[in-house]
Amino acid sequence: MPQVLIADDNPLARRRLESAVRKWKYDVVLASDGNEAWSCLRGPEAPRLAILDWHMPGLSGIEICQRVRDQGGDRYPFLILLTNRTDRDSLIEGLTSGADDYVRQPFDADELEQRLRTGRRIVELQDRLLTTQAILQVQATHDALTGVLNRGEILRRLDRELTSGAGPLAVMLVDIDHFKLVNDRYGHLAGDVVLKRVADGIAANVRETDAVGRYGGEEFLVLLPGASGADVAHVAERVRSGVAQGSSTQAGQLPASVSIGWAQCVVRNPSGGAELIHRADEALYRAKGDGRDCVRAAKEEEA
Amino acid sequence: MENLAALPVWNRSQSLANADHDPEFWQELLTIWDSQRSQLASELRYALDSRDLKAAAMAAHTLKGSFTVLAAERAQEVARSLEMTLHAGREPLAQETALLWEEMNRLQEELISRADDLGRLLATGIAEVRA
Repeated sequence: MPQVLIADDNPLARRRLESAVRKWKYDVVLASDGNEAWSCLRGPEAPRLAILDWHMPGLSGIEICQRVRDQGGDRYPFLILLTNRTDRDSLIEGLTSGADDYVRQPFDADELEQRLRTGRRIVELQDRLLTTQAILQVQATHDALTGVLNRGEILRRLDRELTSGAGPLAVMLVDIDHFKLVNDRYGHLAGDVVLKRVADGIAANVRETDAVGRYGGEEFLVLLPGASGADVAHVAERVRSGVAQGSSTQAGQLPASVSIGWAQCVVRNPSGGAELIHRADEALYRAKGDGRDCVRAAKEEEA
Repeated sequence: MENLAALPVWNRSQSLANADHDPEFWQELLTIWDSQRSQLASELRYALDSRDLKAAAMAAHTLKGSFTVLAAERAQEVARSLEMTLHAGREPLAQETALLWEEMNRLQEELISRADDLGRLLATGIAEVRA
């Protein structure tokens, strides 16, 4: 049931509004002055519909409208000003302050019900847009198969870390061993299961502050901000052993192992992303050369 | 100010309409008024005595809101006029405030004199109210 804030300092007027609005199947939140109304509209779970008396102790209805609009935020509240002012200038002043609608006192119940319904349609429409936007945002930044970040997003985050972060930053390249063989022998569906299983294994074994992305076909890039060399080595080993548990596919239990190369920069260089990845890639190449299913660190960065 | 004599002290049918033609809700509104009227009047008196015109305007506004819901048309008009004077930054004349207390008393007498009428409406329900 949608929630409506009713803010009026007059107990009679407030009770009359409350009775009407409840009858129209809304939940009601009451405020008896402007400050109470404003604190109610500031919260993350604030009502999306509000009926505000123009004149109230503390903050007036128009001051609240201005503050709500200045506050911004994604969740747009629909604000109705209630007043017995009837002149054109007041109407314009009210709407200029950020009110969406304007109802004159004493209110006509049928009219107010319809105006409230209009507000409800608008906030519901906006909610649907926000939901769609959130879905599109996930689709635009995540790999559809594995659910980890996609290549574009993990590289954007690497740039962001190098530009605005502080302290050491490490990157880890994780490559599935003999992945081509899995695809050739068991088919691409089995390959997809292995990819998903490995991605889950990586995500489950890194720290909360780390970011995991699919960098290439069977290669994943992990960002480890603020991690010491010992931390990175520890996380890398945990990832390696964590994903080497095998994957259950239609073709049966498939063994999966990964090789990992990592590199770290102590001082962040905004244009150093490619170099950092290149060093991790060289370390990965050594891990492959050393028989796979192991972790190798890059050589110390050059001063 | 409008011609007060032309306005009813209490517009009973409008008052009932403001309560959505629900006698019980009507009684509830009248009870709320009964419990708040002394305090609202005190707030206005105190603000006027302190020459706090802003607070006095707010108190007059609140009283006007109550009179609107009650459909106490004469008191509503007096409160509206007083509020405008105060909003304009002028101290009201003694007779302007005296008029408000007078209209409040008149309203109270009217409500008391109709107490039996209210009881009957509550007992007989909405059909008779609308008749």
